Amino acid sequence: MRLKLATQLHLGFAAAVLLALAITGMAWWITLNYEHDVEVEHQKVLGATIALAEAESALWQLRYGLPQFMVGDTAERRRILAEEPRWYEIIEARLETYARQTTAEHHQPQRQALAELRAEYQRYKEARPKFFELYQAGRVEEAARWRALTTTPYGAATVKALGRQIALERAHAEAEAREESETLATIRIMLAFLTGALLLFLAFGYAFALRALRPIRALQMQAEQVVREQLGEELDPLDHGNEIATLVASVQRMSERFTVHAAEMARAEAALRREHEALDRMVAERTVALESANRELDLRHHRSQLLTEMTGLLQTVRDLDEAAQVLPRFLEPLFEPNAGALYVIKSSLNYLDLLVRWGQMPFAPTFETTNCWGLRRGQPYLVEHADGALVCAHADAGARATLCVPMVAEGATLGLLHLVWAQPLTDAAAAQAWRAHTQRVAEQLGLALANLRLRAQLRDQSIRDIQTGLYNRRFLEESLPRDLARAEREKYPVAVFMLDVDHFKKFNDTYGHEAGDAVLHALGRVLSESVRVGDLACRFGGEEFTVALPRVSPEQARDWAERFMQRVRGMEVKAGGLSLPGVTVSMGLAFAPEHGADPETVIQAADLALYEAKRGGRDRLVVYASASPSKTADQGAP
Amino acid sequence: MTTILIVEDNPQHMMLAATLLELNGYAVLKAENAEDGLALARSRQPDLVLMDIKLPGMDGLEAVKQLRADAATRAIKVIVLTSFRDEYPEAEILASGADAFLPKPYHHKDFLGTMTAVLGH
Repeated sequence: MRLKLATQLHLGFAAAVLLALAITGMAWWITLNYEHDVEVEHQKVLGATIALAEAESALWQLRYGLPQFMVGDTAERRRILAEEPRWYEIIEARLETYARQTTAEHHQPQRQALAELRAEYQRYKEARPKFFELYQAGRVEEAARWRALTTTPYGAATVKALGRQIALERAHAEAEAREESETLATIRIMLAFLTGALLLFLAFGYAFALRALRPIRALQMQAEQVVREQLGEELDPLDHGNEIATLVASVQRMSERFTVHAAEMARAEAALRREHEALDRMVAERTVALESANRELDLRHHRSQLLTEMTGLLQTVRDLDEAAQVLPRFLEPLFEPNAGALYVIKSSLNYLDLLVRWGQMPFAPTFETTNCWGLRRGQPYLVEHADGALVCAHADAGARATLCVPMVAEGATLGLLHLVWAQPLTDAAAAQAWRAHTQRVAEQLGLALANLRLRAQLRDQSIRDIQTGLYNRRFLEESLPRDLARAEREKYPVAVFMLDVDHFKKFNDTYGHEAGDAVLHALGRVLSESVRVGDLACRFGGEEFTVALPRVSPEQARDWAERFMQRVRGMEVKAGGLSLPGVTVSMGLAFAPEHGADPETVIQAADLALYEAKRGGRDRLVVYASASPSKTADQGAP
Repeated sequence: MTTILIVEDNPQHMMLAATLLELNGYAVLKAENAEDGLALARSRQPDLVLMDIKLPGMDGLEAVKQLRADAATRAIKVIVLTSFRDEYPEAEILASGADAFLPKPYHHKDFLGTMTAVLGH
């Protein structure tokens, strides 16, 4: 486990302080020790001095004991003799002590003095027992000689010199000790000062380090926080001990992360770029698709508009012929750029007639229904590839693809929508689209054709006279103004006949209404057989008829009338199995615009001519002459 | 002699109608507009007026109403002639006071028949 910087700092500081204190203490101790040594030395010197003094003193003691011995009683003598060895011991011990304490180089004189002193003592020691012995034996003179030997002042001068020497030495030692002591005191003061300075320095360093540590701690905490919060990682406990270690570990993590991130970023960027490119491509594709879809939509819209318009227009056309004029305008753009044709079943159920066609391909004008597979199957028949396929027989040999869509409405097949292509259809989807589109158009056309047919039937019912099969008076009033207007525009005459069955009322009364009806029916048939296409034959009312023949001369009109009257005369009419007698007609003829530019007038003129024909004996034609009325103005009275 | 007043602006038609009437023994009076027709009706007191409905100025129906409004002409019979191009409702024509109406072009039988019916012969 690593220690935190602060801890390290604390510990380091403490160690430094302790070290400083230890060093100081040791130095202190050394000085103290040294002082002690000096003291010991001094004491030694002192001790030697004392020992010498004691030795001298003991010697003196011994000496002063002798007179007592000589004057004393026996008891006293015994005591002195008993004490003698003790004094020797003391002296010898002291001498020995001194000897021990004067072993230094500079103690040579002391040792010299000591040697003399020892010799003196030795002599004395030998002399004393002799004295005692002699003295006790009563040999006083002899004893006195030995006594003298023992009382001779031995080495007094030496001892004195020795004493002086010792005093000197002592002073010297004391001075030296004092000096040393002062030096040591100085050293100790300096040591204390140094220690204080060191401690101060350390304290400063500590404070500074603590200060310096703060940003590092902050940095470390930040780094750690970043690692924890941003990277979502916890540092290894091992890495946690020390700020620098944490910082390093954090930065390392961050750096690893950053590397990873950078790599990821690069990857992400690459991916993004790829995505972007893909998106661009997709957008481009979509745009193309959209444009195509738009075009498709436009086309559909356009077609749907065309279809609507066509359907609307087809509701206003009166017949197939008009439809044939209207249809190419729609069918061509509806099926652009294809050629095609619209066939209708007009009258016969077995044949189809070409109604309209468009495009640059030939089409059969008519064909049998059995020649078309579409019609035979009753559903659209698409040949995408003419080669080898079953192609309808009615299709042109040049067609490489064909489509036949039967138009069916109200259960009846009304016709066929036929498309051809000069090239085979390779795109199946397009082919299906064409098929669907054609089917849609075919449905509309089928309905329109059915409607047209229905309307034709209805119109027929409203403009035809059921009894005679001729047009009715309403149709006459509708179409004659048109015919006359055209005639006036194109400058040709129109012959207008009014005709009337002679004696019809009497015929009716005689033979019955059934017979009358039969006559009218027969006359209607003869009349419709007698007129050309474009001529107009109507039942005007009752037994009266009107005929308009455009582009005929007066002679032609007269001839026609004569032929017609002839046919009427030869008409055989039966009613109820009974042959009826023949009938005749009277006819009045007038010309437009000669006798009347408007239908009313010309009809009225023809009617006036008819009136004259009746008056003239019936079964005849009278041509209106503007001069004639005045001649007959006075004939007949009410 | 029964006198018929024809009020008709189309001269051809006037002639045709007049011819037909004359051929049948009627005396014919002619007016080309409603105003003249009304004056003639008052002054000459015809038995019947054939009134064309479409006339310059006052139209036929208005003229019939005036005939009916005037005591001097109230009794005169009136047949209104209509053209298939101006489609007047039958009710409107009869409401004006006309005795009958006849669509042009007419067949002489219808014309004469209607006349006879109106005149009560």
